[in-house]
Amino acid sequence: MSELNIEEKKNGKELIVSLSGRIDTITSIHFSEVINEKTLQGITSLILEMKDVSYVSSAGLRVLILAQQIMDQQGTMVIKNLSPDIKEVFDDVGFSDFMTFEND
Amino acid sequence: MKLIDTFPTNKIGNLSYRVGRVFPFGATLDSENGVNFSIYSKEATGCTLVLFHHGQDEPWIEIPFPEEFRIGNVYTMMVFGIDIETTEYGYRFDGPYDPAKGLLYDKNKILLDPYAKSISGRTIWGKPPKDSNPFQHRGQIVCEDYLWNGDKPLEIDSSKLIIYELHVRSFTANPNSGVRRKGTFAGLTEKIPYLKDLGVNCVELMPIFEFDEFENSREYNGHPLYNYWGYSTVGFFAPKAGYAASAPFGMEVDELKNLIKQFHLNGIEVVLDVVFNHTAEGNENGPYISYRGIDNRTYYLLTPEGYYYNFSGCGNTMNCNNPVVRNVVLDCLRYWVSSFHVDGFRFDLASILSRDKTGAPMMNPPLLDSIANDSVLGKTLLIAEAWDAGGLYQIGTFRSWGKWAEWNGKYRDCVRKFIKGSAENAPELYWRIRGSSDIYGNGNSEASINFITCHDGFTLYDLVSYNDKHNEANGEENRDGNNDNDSWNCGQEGETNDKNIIELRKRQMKNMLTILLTSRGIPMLLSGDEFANTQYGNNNAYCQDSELSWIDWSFLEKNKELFKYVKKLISLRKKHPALCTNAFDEGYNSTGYPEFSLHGLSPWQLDECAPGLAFAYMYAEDGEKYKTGKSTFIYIVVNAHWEDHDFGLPIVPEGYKWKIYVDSGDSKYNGSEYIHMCPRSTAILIAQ
Repeated sequence: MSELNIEEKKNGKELIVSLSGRIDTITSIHFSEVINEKTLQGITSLILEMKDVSYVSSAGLRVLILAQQIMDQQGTMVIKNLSPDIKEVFDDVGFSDFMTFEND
Repeated sequence: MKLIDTFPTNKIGNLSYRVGRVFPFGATLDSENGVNFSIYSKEATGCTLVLFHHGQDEPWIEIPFPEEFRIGNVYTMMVFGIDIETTEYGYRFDGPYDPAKGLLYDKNKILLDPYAKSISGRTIWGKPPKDSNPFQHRGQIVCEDYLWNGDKPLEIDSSKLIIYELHVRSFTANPNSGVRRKGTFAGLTEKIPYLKDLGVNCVELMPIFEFDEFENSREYNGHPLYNYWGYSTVGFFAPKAGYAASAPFGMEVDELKNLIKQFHLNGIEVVLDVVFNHTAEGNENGPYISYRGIDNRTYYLLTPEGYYYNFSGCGNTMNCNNPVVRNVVLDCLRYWVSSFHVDGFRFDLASILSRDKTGAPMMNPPLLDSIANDSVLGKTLLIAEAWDAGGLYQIGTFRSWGKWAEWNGKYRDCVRKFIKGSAENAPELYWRIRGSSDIYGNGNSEASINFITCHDGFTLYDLVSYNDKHNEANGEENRDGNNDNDSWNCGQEGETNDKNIIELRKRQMKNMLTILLTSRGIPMLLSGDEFANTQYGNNNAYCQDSELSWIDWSFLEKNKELFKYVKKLISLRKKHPALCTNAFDEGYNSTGYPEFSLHGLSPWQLDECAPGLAFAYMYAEDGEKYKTGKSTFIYIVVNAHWEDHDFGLPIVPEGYKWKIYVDSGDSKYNGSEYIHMCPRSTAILIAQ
């Protein structure tokens, strides 16, 4: 069963989005409603807390890439605490080359 | 804006659908979350779309195409609400079953879409399939987007190419490859710095279209034998999922695109070895995978009795010059160039592509014409293996339209024979070094892909270490593989501790590589030859997913000196355009010397028609003509004789002095007007 919980915390121009669950074709629709050109307007720092994300599909990855492309125009984006297994897939397809990852 | 032809009109279960669009063929994701399905069949009487949840034995829904959804011979449907990441699809076709007429419709079979861009079923390499599954190879829908960051095919001047042939899995599968993702596209990405260091600027990947490693798989002496090389295509539009570490996540397309992008970032082109001559469906006893159940008489060459012609040696032959199949091939090539940024193709048994529907060779095969003159493929490198298993041998006669190059099998045979010690091959060798103008004189030397070894046959080390093939591990009592290898073991079959033999083998390898990398035409190396990789005498490792096939990277350390030698040869070629010009230019230039000249033991003295084992050739590179600054003289001395010889060196203009660049033997050149060459050795001298 697809499930993704999204919590947002806005602090001025900084937006922290905490995700838990799976980001697949179904849940990525909801994810892209939270993170898109409109919702990110005026944001200069986007932090995605992904410690509790267990799966990212091709569709989910594409939402992240679109977010990265938006933030490249207006500020920074950091993916925090992504599980090493998922990070490895990002590496395999070359998408981690232009993303920033941090671990606490 | 929502387009009005994406509004659902029909409903089945919880899915809605409507008539689709004819183009493009295949399953295409629509921006409004619909998937457009479009498939051709001329002789079917009905078609049904079959959808599966990923990995399930039974479909969860089947949607027959209403008659109004068919336009001409194309069935189209747009379906809404599919989760593309968890859906597999196929088709059933109804129609006449009459094998004597070549009609094989069977609505009980579920068939793969010939245009499927991702294929499940063999997602994890070597994972045994469930035999009970009646639908083994299933279509999947992919996102065709990618972040290319400005990448496109490199379009390197083809005369400047140095091709390196490799098998994606073999290149990094060995535990000593040192990469993280062994045997995959991602693993190959990790080896790009090595290839860049070596200096090659083009990799030719052995088949990477989806194939079934379990086709004709078997066990021999406790070892599994596979369809390892993959010269048997299941789907022409899908990457081999088992080569992608990320395939279980449905991202094999992204992973391959990243590999190509990374190659390009490092100045290396990517050529795919493509197999259009036959498919994995085999002969009359083969499985229904796709084509035979969709339109057998369109896709295959059939005898008047409905049997398959077998010009491929693999059971069936694609009907390549049929207008529909022609379009499939063209669509496929265009897709790989436009969507994956592939730089070129090498066509396996390409002569089959010149046969008509009866199997007869055509004067102007429309498929080859179309490929040569296609708009999207306008800058794409096209290489033919200009022969087939039905007896066609078209080296030099393969219709090229000035665009097709050929694997020059004559070059391979001639260099091997000469270096082995066959003096009578000398006159032919002079032509081969010149770019084979005797064969390709009407075109240019780029038409000649020069090679000494390739995946098919001995590795370079084995060529100088084995007189005979040793294919016992293939389980065919050593009957398989070529018997005419023109190889010589230098005195002892296989591994030896004899220092003289070991040294001679090293020299022989260097001798052949020296000639290869200083001949006109496009050189091609077999991966691992640069450090004497061995297959232990197996010259047909098509079924070996084992240490026999996997490149053994420990040899790189052991044979570092050979690696450095090859690197120097590649570097020389890249620095000196006179070696790789695409013109057969041999006339006098502003250096006052002919651009290319042949010599004997005494300079300027060679009977080009006489047998011999000692000769030299010189490139007088005109610095002005080639914009390289000062002119350069390059003298390549070849002593294939088993005795020492002194070679006189040509007099060069004042201020120039001969210096040794590389030397396979131990010439101890002292700067005089002679060079002493030890038995079976080559040397390159440069005067600048």
